[in-house]
Amino acid sequence: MKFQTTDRFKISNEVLSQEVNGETVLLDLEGESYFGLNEVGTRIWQLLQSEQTVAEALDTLSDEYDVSREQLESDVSDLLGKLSDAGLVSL
Amino acid sequence: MPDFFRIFDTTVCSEFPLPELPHASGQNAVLSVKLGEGDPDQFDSWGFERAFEWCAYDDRVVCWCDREGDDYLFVFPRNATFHITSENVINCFLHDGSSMQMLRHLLLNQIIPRYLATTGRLVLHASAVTLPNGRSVAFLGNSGFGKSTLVSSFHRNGAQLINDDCILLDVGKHGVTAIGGLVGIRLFPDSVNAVFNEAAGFTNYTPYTDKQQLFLKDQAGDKPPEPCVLDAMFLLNDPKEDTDNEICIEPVSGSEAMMAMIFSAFSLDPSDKKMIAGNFQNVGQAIGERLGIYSLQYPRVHERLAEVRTAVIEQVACGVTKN
Repeated sequence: MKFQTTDRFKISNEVLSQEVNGETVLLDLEGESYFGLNEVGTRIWQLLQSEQTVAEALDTLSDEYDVSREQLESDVSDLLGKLSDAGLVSL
Repeated sequence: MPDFFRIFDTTVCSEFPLPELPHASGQNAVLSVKLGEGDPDQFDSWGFERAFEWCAYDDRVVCWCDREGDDYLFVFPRNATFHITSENVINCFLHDGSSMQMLRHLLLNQIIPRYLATTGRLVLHASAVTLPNGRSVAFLGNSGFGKSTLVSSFHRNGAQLINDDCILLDVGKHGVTAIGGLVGIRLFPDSVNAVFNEAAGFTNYTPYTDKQQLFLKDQAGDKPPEPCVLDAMFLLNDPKEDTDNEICIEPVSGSEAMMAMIFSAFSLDPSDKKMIAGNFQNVGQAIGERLGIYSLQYPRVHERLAEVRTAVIEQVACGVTKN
């Protein structure tokens, strides 16, 4: 999906999340489906919950993980695409 | 004359005998069980709508749940219909050609666990035992994955059975407590012979399966099984998977454990969003407690059960030490 780094993603009201042992499971009540997030995905989800823009989230992640900006942008874009396709987040 | 019985954490007032359950005092009975009057077809005009169907591997519908508001109609077409009302009454209708034993089997192993889920309880399709060393463990897995054989093997070697096929989990300040319902075991004849060496006490309980049932009156007497704080939960692998004949125990991730528990949870209407959300929250709380959750892979060979027991006991000891 295409988005700007100034965009702010909104989490669907139909989504419940549970953090368990550093990972997160998302429940989409609308589609009755589940989605698992690993540790990094969990951190991205937390940033989405705090309503940060994509750029702000990338800045935060850059401070926290020893990974290149390019890699982070790719990972965040990939996850946002999957979450959006599943109807869990939208612009 | 109604009598009172105990199943899981609930006292039931029943109009007909439930010999599979221990008796209870009449205090705090929240659930009433009655024999329904008339033909179950009477519900056709009540406005119930199909909520969910359960299918066998050949796509044949084996049972279904109809709803009208907070009233449920749970139908096992060959055996019985259960009308679960919003006033916590279960009206049981026996179908022609079935038996009261079959009706009680469905009531105690299917309907009441599913009813309890509507009251916010977390009830899992799992078996549990308390080991001779006092540690309690649960085994989670689909039908046919070996839960009953495994807990039978533990029971024959000194463990106390909490429940063979269904446990209620209560999350509290001391951890996750497993509460059993029926103190009995259901096994296929090959496992009966391998684990118990003899079939004494085992009886057939339904014409639809070769499985045989044994109630452990010697363990329970007329008392409900003791609730126990769980030290570990093991997710059994699919026996069809190739295990290379190895016994392997590994920690599982939080999300994997959560998904396994959610899909093992009982509910009257699995499409009910309120119930889905409740189970989701309850499972998350349970995993957040001090409960080691592991995958257990092992060859389904009776001769290897002693090794599996040893591996489980060692893992529990190791996990408890770490905590």
